Amino acid sequence: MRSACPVTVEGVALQRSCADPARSLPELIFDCVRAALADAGVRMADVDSVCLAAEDLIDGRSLSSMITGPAAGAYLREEIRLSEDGLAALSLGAAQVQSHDFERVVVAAWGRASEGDPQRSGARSFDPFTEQPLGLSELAVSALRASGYLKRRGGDMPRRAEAAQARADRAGANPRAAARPVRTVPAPFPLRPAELRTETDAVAAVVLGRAPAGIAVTGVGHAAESRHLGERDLTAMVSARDAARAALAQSGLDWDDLGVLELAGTTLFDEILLLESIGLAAAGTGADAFLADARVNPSGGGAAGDCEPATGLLRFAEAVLRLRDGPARDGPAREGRAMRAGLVVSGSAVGGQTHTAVVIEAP
Amino acid sequence: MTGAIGVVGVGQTPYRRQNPDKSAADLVYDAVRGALDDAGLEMDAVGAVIGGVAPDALAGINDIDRMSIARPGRPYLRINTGGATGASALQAALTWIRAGRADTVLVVALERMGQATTAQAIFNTIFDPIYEKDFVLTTITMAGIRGSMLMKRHSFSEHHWARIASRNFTHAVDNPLVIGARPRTPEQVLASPMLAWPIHQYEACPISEGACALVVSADRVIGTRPAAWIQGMAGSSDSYSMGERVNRREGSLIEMVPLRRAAATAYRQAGITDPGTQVDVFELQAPFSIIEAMAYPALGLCDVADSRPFVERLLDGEVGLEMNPSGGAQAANPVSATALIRIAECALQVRGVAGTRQRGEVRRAVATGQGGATQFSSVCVLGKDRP
Repeated sequence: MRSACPVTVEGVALQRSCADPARSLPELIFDCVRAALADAGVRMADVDSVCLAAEDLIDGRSLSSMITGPAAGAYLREEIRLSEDGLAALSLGAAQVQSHDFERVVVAAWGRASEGDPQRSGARSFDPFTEQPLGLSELAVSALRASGYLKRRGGDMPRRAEAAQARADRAGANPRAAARPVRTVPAPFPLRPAELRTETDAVAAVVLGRAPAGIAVTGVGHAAESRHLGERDLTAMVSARDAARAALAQSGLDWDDLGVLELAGTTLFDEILLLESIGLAAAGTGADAFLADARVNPSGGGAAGDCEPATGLLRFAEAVLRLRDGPARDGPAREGRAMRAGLVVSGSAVGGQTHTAVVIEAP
Repeated sequence: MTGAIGVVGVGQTPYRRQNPDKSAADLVYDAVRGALDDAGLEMDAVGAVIGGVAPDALAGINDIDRMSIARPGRPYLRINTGGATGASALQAALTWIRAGRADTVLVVALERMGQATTAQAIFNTIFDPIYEKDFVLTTITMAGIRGSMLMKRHSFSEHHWARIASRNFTHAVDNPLVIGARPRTPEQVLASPMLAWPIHQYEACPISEGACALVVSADRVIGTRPAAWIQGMAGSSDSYSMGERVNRREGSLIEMVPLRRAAATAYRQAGITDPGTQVDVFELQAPFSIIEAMAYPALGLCDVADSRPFVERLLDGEVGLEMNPSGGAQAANPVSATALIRIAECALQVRGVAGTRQRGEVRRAVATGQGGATQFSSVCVLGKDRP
């Protein structure tokens, strides 16, 4: 279902790299935005707004977009920057087009894990008196979530190792995946090393506009829950569930219409729990669904390479390319329906307190 | 712009150096409660919350908005464009409403920079880590560079900066939200310690904490509520590199090119052709006198070449424009919130409820936002008349 004011994805690009000594952060951003413009077949002069997602602490500057914004094209035109996941910036960029205030918007997000350790930066989001002494981080929250899940189940997650291998295989088949991580981090209990993501330098850029043909954004959902971990059911991932349901409802599609699902989490455990929370797998069967359903994270998810706050925009670009290139249409037959739509879900600090979900549809 | 949008609720905390007795959430609650009460609404009417918090380092904690501004069950976004954050947050809210995603959006900007032991050491880290940090660029020295250019090219003197500061501090005395405001003469300003030539201590904005909240709604749900209508709003971004802006076709470092472009767009949306006669009140985000002097030509109030005589006529009361009735950012500058405060103050003036700082019948007011190295600019036109 296309809205009266469709927003189409005119171009995408994503680049993962590993401490490239030849390029500065602004150069990484410039190269990726230029690639997205080339993919769209437009010039920067055709763009009237730039919508960014960047994190100061990861970029190592107290106001990141001062230096990085112009590299994304924010020169003598509208620019806005979110301290959020890149998928939230995509949502705001789409709203800019929907509002008729702008004709064409560049959305860009980046994180250079080789320079700014996202786990260390994320740890600074916790209360300095009551939480930071506990060593909390985004990874630690994912471990708490996994612990809660395993305790509730009363045993280990079936086929857990198989799911990790499947994710690694999917990343291995993704030509855009990072060749290697910029660093490895210890896996906090009960997580295992193979369940962590590949930390990398990453930039994603998307050109949104009103091109009459092309992949369209047809559903957007946002949701938030309490900042306090103790007030949340961490395993339920309520904000992800609510955002996904809202986006899907807006699109008028149902789960069977989706040909690709890119579900972003800090670890494989999060990706699997997302399947259960949004209703694609029954409680306790997330790993089975992850293995059986080739629509889920065909990019390899976090194993393909990730860095906040680029996460959601990376996965969005992966989903667009998957729909555009067609592999998802060749995925498992589901009642003979064409696979021409995708869902992307991604969260922001703290520990997935807020989530954004976006539905895209090919013509 | 499609579909009229109005500011129907304004809430502000007092602005002071520190709030040791209040958490960030306390400050946000006070501002939000005030804005909702002013609008006659409760949270259930709010379709989305847009937060504005600028450098995390000032508060000493990353993502302070998650605990204090984000609300369960409401879509939430955090905007961060440095000093322009508050205005950018309002722009995001306008976008949200015009895109049909909500009828009413709560915009909240929060600053906790009183937690920082040395704000300027943090501001040093906004500059390039390789080429600029080591020669102690800060927001003060950055403004000083522009001041020296203005003095060399347009014959401004330290006395001009002191007179602008004196006027703003005197206005702030009428604003009960500026805690500790006191009038200062130009001579007192010039006698204050030199921070970075040509900026004296009493020309520089103080460290300020506080929160500001606005309730903005689409006209279809405003009903009979008194609204300050958004007649125009636009922003523009510029190159970071100051050296690239000294001599270029679009305008020099002291011409505030993005502010000029934002003003041109916002004025066009509002139908303003002569801002000097069609705008009653200006609230400028100018944390230094130098920035305010640069803003006048960018806002179309004078030519660049005429900026010094214009400043003199303005300060002599010969121009008939009301500048910064609140005292402006020079009197209180909670960085993340200050651009939203300028808009809030304009909304109060337009609605005629600015209390002791009300400037008579105000039909139209203009607020500016400014962030980065005079790099991110926004202009918001508010008026009594629905566009």
